[in-house]
Amino acid sequence: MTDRSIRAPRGRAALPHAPVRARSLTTAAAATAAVAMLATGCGKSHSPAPSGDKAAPSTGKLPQATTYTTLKGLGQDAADAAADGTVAHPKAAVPVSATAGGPPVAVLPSTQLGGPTWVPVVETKPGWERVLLPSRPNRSTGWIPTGKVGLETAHSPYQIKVDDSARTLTLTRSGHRVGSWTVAVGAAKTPTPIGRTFLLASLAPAKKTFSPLILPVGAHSETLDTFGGGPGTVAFHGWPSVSVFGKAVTHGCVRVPADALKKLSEVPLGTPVVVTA
Amino acid sequence: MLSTRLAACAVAAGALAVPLALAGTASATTGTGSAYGLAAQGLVAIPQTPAVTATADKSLIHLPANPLIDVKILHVTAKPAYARASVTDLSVAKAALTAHLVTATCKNGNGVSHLADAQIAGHRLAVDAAPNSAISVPVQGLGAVAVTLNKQVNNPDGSLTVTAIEVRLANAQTISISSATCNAADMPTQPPGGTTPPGQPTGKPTPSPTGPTTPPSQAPKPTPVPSNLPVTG
Repeated sequence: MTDRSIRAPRGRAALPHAPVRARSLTTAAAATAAVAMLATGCGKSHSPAPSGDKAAPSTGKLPQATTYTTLKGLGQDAADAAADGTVAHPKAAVPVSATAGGPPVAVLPSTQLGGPTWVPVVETKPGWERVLLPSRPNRSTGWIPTGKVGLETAHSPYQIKVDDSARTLTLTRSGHRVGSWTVAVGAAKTPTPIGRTFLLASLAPAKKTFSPLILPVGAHSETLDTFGGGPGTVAFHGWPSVSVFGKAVTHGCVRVPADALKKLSEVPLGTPVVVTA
Repeated sequence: MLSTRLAACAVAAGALAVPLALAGTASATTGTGSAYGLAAQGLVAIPQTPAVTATADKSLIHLPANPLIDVKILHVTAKPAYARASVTDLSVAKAALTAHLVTATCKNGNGVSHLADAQIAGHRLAVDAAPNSAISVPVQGLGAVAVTLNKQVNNPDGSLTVTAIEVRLANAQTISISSATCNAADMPTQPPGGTTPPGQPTGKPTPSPTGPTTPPSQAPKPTPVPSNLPVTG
C-alpha cells in the first residue's frame, strides 16, 4: 500500500503553509486505511504557529525559534555525538545570539507547541550556553545568556539513537539500554534528516487515528518545505500497521512500535536525539 | 498466616540479627562500582552481605544461620565502572526458591543478570531474564510471592544498580540476591554538591558562575499537550 499521498516538494516555488500539491498521487490504491489515517491525523491543519509561543516584548521584532520558523545567521551544530544530557528551560523568552556575547538574532520562547521549551545544552561559556534550536535549518544552534532570565537547568539521563540504515531506534538511560526497536524511517526521496536534534514536544492529538502520541523533534524534512499544512517537522509516532517497521517508507518521521512509543513518552523534553546514516 | 510464620522466624532469628550485621553499606560512589551478595529487609533483616565498594573483592562462605535464607558461597567484586556479585546454592524459605548460581554484573553502566538452575515453587526461572521481569508465584504457606528478575534501577547519581533476584513476600519481607552497581566509565556521576568534571570533546557544559551551584535535577517527564502538529508522517 502507498502512504505517500500528501507532500509538497521542497523548492523555491513552494510557499510555506501553502496548500500542498501532488494530490494526483491520491488515486485508486491510495484509498487505503493508512492513507485515510494519514490524511486525518497528519495533514489537515493549516494553522500557523500557535499563539502559545510567547516572546518578551523587548525582543518582539526578532524571529522566534520555533518549529515554524527559519532562522538566519546562526551557527550549525557539527557534532554527531549525543550531548551530555544537560537540558535547559527558559522560564521567559530568552534572546538567542550567534556567538556568546553577540547581539541577539532570535528569541527562544518559553513554550513550544503548547508545552514547555526544553533544549539540550551542547556547549557552555561563562554566562552563556549554546543550545540546539527547533527551527530550520536543521542543526541550528544559538547562544542564550544564563544570567539575565530565569533559566532552569536539569539533566536527562536518556539518549535516543536512530540508525537510519539499520532502521532501528535505541533508547538508553544512564548509558543502559532501555530498549531497541525496528522502526520505519524516511523513504529515499524524503529521508529522515541525519544529525543531532532533540525531543521537542509531546502532543496528544484529538484524533488518535494513527498514533496516540506525537513526539516532534527539532529537525525538519530536508526535502519537504511543508507537509500536510505543517512545517515539515520530523517526529516519533506510532503506526497502526506493523508491516511498516523495518522499512524506509515515511516522509521523514520515525514510526515506532507501540512499546517504543510508550517508553519514549517518559523521556524528558530536550533529550538528545542522534540520527546516524 | 504469613505474618505469623515470619514473626516466628523473626523470633527465632532474633539472636542472629547481631552476627549478621557485619557489612557496611554499598552505595554508588563516583567512578566506582559496588556490589553485595545478599540483603533482606523486613521481619528477617540482613544488611548487605558481603558488600564492597571502590576496588575490592570479598567472599563469604555461608550466611550465618537464619530461618529464611541459606547460601553456600557469596562473592562480590568491584572496580571502577564495574561490579559483580554471585551467590551459589541459594535456598530461600524452605527451598520455595532455589538456584545453583545467581549473578549480577554491572559494567560501564550496563547491567546483566544470570541464573543457573533457578526455580520457585517448581517453576523454572529464565536464565537470562529481560530487565525488570516481574512474576508472581503462589507458594504454599506464603501466598503470592512477587519476584523481580534482573531488576535494574537508575540511581539519582547516574549509576545503575542491577539486582539478579528480588523477592517480596506479602509486603512484609524483601530479599535482594546478587546486586551490582556501577557507572559508565565515560559518565562519572556528580556527587551531591560536587562540580562537573571538565573536559568533554564536544564542549561539556559546566555550571555557569551565575547559575545555581547545586547539580541539575532530573528533567521532568513530559506531559502530553492536547494538540496536533502535522508532522512528516
